Amino acid sequence: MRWTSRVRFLFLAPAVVWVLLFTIFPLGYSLFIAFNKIDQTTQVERVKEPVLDEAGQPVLDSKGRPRTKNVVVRNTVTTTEFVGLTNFKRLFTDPQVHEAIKVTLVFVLIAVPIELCLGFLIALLFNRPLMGRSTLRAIMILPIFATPIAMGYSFFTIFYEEGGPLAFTGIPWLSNPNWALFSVALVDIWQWTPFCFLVFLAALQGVPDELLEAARIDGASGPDILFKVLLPLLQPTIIIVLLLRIAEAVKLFDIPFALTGGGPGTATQSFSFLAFRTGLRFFDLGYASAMAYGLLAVVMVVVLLFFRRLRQSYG
Amino acid sequence: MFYVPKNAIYKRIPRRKFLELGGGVATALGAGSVAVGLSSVVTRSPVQAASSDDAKWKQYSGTKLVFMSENTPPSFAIRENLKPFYDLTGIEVEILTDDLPVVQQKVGIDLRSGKADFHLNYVQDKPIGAPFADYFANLNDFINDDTLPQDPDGMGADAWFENFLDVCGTMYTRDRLIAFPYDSAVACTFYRQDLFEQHSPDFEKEYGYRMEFTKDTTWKNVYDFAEFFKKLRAAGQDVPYGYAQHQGSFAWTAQLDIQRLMYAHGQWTEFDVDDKLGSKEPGPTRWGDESSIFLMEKWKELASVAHPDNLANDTLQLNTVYQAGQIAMQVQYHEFAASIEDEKTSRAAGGKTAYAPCPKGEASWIKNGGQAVNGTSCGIGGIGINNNASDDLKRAAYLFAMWSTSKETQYNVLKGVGGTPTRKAVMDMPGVKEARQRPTDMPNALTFDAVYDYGIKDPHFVLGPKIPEANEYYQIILTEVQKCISGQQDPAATCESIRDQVDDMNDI
Repeated sequence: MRWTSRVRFLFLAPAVVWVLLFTIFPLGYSLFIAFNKIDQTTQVERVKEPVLDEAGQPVLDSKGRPRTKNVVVRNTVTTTEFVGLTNFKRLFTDPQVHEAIKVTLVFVLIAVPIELCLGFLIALLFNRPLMGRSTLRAIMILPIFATPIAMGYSFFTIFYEEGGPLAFTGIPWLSNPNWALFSVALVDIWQWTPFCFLVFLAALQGVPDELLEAARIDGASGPDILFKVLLPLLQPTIIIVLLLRIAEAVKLFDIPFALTGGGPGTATQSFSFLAFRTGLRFFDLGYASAMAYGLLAVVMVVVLLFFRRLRQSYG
Repeated sequence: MFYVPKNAIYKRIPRRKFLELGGGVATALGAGSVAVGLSSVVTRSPVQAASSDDAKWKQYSGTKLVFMSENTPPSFAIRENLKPFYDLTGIEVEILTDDLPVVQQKVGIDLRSGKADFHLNYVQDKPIGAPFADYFANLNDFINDDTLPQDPDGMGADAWFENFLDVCGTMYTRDRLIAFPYDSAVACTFYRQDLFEQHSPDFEKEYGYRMEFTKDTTWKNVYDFAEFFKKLRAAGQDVPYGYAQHQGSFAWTAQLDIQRLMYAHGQWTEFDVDDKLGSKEPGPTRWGDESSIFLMEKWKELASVAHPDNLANDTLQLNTVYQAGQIAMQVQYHEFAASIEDEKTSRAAGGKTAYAPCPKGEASWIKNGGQAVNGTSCGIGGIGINNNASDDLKRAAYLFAMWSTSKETQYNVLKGVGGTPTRKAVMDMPGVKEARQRPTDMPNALTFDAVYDYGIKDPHFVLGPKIPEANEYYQIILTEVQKCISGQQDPAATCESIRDQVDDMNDI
């Protein structure tokens, strides 16, 4: 093999190193710490050591005694104790985890269906001649590009009860547990409905005009065309969007982090937020890793179910 | 891609050659960056005990240190004015600043992973000092080292305000000292004197006493004031709300907030431990006892007359609410006085705000037989040295820790951006005494009577709780108290839930 052929390995190397360092290693290491308890202690001792000259002989002071120096000896001891499934078992008995799962599920059940329905309706609206359609479409998709954490902080001022733009409603957006979760969902809906809209619009524009024309000639009404032609045709797209949104929504973190801090109480503390807090605020990294793997398992089950359904439908 | 005009005058480089060159350069740059990023610089000129002070200060000339700090006024001011330290020592210091939770996270990872990316750390007493106490160098080693220069004012407990060294430096044992007091945030009451004076006659007619704030003003009075303002608003008057709590998402200050009320009533504390030392095994908590349940009821009553965004405002936002003129009173940290007195951003500036000690306990609310005090909580930010660093880097870091907490530096910060001194000697420096009265060019000094002359003195000052799981404890308090205030559970259930979780956390 000529060296110029081997050079491809050089170009592949950064990508391989990147994946190994930032994907495979964290995955493996977090699994390791989920099964182990790691403790590190540092013992510091001060000892007197003789001062030696270049020849290695003790240096004497003016009274002929060996000169000494203080040396700090530091001994860091790391202990790793295998704890088996302890962290995973805690997941089943910890009320905070149960509460966070409930919050996450309620959030997914509120946000995702609304995003899909709204996105689809807006896509239907934009799939017909409309003045300034391209400009409106560009404006519509802007929220997708906003950073969720920045959105959280922006909506904090919007939901502010005393003097915020929505203060006239008199709704306790952030201080009432039920409204707070709805507020979090509202921000998510605002941000991700455009994504659903964009995908649905692309799918709608791929539907052949002949089909719709034929349906109209056969006397199909508007609802008939929607429910008997468009929705069946768009089913694969809808399933994909649903899958993507669920997989993303169960990882909810940024918005409650910035908007509510998980409160009031635990009303908006999602599962990811709890894992973050456990790991990087309380430094219970083993338990946090177990939580992350729990979440990964749930997401994978959802993904597998959907792929199975897709395979059954479309071979 | 790679389009070359036919008449290009330079020699065409084949695509393969171009990619080879590009890959090589990128790899070399990447490797170089990693090498530079992972290295820290230390140089040393050996000194003896008998060496001159100048030699001792300069022994680490050429060294580079990194200090991870909270974004507090001293760090901003010192970062802008590092030249004197560089001239004195030849040491270059990079000061990184961020929000406290981020600092806590970064410092925690650095310390616990055995690294020393940050040689100097901001040791906020309970949130950083208590959980990571074992990872900081013992500063006593450096204080007693005659090959290092020493501050002429000393670094012992007497050099600092009462209890400050204990708050941030002493964790669980007196054998080790983990931080020097670097800045301080001590609670006191900020209130709108103009509004109090304006409405006092009407208030007195209804409640039978004057609406004023003194060291004898109790939490019951605070409730009355807040209720009075809320009634005025309900009657359509253009007045702010009376009061608001720190019950937003910042768990530590939410805990400190309720701690002031609890401590004011019989000096109630969470654990039966020496507050100055703290404990790694604090034993059963007192949450759930008669006092805690009764006072939680009062806390909820106070919330009912507070600003409507009470559960959304953490400490910074609460201060903004006060600056915006939306509340007439807040118990706040004295470091915020400078922002309140800034006429460009604050509606409460221009002599409208007065400062008083924290509210006192109401005698009839005390259930544990203790005394009524002006419960004053605090956050004393220390500067500590990462014990993972090499011995030379630690010694170099000590030079900065000492310089940054010297009276000259603290005085400059106080004059510049409004610091909050931790050294007693700063009070005797030129202009500081005069600055306690208006007009002043050191607005934080307006709080000094309430804070340094009263709040931090025994029996009003509450130091703890110093426990390794301090941050978990704060989160439990915040979560359960928010549930209580938002009506999800009653005060008794709240205290019992706190007790169960805290005892479980402490393996009781």
